[in-house]
Amino acid sequence: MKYVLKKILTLIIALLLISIVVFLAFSVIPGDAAISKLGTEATPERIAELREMLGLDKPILERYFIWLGNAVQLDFGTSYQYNVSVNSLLGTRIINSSILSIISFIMVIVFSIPIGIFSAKRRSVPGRTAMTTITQITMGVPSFFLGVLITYLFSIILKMFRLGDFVSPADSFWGACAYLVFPAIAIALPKIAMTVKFLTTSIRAELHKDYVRTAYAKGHTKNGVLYGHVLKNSLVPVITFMGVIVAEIVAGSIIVEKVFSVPGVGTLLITAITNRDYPVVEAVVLLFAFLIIVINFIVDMIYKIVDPRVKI
Amino acid sequence: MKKKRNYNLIIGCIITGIVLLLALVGLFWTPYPTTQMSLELKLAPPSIAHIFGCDHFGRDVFSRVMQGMGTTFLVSITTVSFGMIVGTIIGFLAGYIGGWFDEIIMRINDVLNAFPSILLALVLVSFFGSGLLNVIVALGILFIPSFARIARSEMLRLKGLQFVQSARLIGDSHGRIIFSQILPNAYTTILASAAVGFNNAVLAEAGLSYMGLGVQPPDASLGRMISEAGSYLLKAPWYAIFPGVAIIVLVLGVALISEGVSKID
Repeated sequence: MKYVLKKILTLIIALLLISIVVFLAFSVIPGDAAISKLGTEATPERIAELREMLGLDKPILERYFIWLGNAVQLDFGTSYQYNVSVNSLLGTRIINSSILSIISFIMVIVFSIPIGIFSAKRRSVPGRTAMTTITQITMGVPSFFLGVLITYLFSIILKMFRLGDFVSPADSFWGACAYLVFPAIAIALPKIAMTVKFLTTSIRAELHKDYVRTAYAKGHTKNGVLYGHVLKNSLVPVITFMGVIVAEIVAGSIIVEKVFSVPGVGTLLITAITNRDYPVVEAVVLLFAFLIIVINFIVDMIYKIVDPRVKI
Repeated sequence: MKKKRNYNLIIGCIITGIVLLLALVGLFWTPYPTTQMSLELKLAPPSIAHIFGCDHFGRDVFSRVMQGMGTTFLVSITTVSFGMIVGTIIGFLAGYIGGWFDEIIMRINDVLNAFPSILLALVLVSFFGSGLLNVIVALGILFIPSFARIARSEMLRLKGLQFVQSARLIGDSHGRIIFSQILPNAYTTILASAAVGFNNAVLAEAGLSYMGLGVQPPDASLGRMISEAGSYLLKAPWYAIFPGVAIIVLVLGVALISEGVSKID
């Protein structure tokens, strides 16, 4: 219990720290929001008026608390670019991006564990070299290039989907999923390779331990030792690694969404950055930060349940 | 016993050598001027004169890949070196001084480390604005935390060892201890992680220019070429494939070298 409380406390501190950094970073950016909104030819009175309306005339500490208070109530202000609330922009995009990330994560889990076991079983030199080469190359492929290759293969040659034909999950949930499978492959493949490499190393390390020798001595078969004893133990470090993978999937989706023109949080972030639409950037960055920190917290908790020896 | 050949290292060195040569030459000379356009050669398939084909403006893709690799390489080397130097200094200081300074630096590090690099790069670019120079600054800052962490743990490992204690006893200054006792013993570990950093830098630079935030046209960059090629996949798939393969080869070569080096003992 003490462990959980301590973890929750660090979680809150981390979130506060990030909120301060995000707020400060976007407050010191040269170019006042009021001026950029009105253009350089606006009269000083008009600028002062708008500054007051946007609350830019208040001291920075007060502005931070107002901003934080609003953010806690999930009010991120108004987009400069579209002149609508950031929330209305985020709404459906969050759902699209979440579906994409979930499909990718399922792919990573479903494929990497069997492939990892298969790879760890390779004892011969050619077998091992082949597996390392394949994983090494897959890890080096940038996800957006993979996205382009997948578009070429599945859309142009096999005609399985048409680029840009994304249906909103509100209209057809399975239609949206069917489209998102392709970007999900682009996101998941390098992550599968990373997990396979990690799991292979983990299983191999475990195979050298004393209890494995004992298990063999008791008369277990090779597979009996692997599935009955080794696998359970070698999956424990993989849990922590999954935290990293989820964060990487979320980040990887930003760029892959652009490749497949999925209207998600990532495409929104890229356009917001190009157009210097700071309220949107702030909101998306906070959202991602929150997500990643919470994921790490969940991973820590699962780890604690799986392996009660863990202390902080 | 016959010594096993270190194939990873050999193949990695060959690949990286060729790529490096092409990239460095590409900074100064390319078979065709990278901005030379031609209407007849629009999306021309690979031929003997243009081995990688031509793009939608009839520019030679091979020349542009060479120049793009050069830029990517320069950006990666600069940013990793910057991150390595600043990160090592911060990490050494944190480890050497310890106490609250160490605590603050490491907590910031923990938070930054939890974030995927491309996300941090995006945040920094949105802060500094797009363009090549800003990407270099953003990526440079991005690499500081990972090196700081490694440098700190090396410092903590070495600080307690006897030769450092003796140096302190004979009255060496702090600077002398750090530079002539700690650094020579720590640099192999730090350099090994530079290889990982280099690959992250290549992928991050390519990703940012794919999103249109890095190198600005008409200069060639691998990421932007792939992004432009996306619209011509049906007519000219080679236009997308060659720059992509160039990125993979760049990353693979360095990855093989670092794998090979880790096996030398």
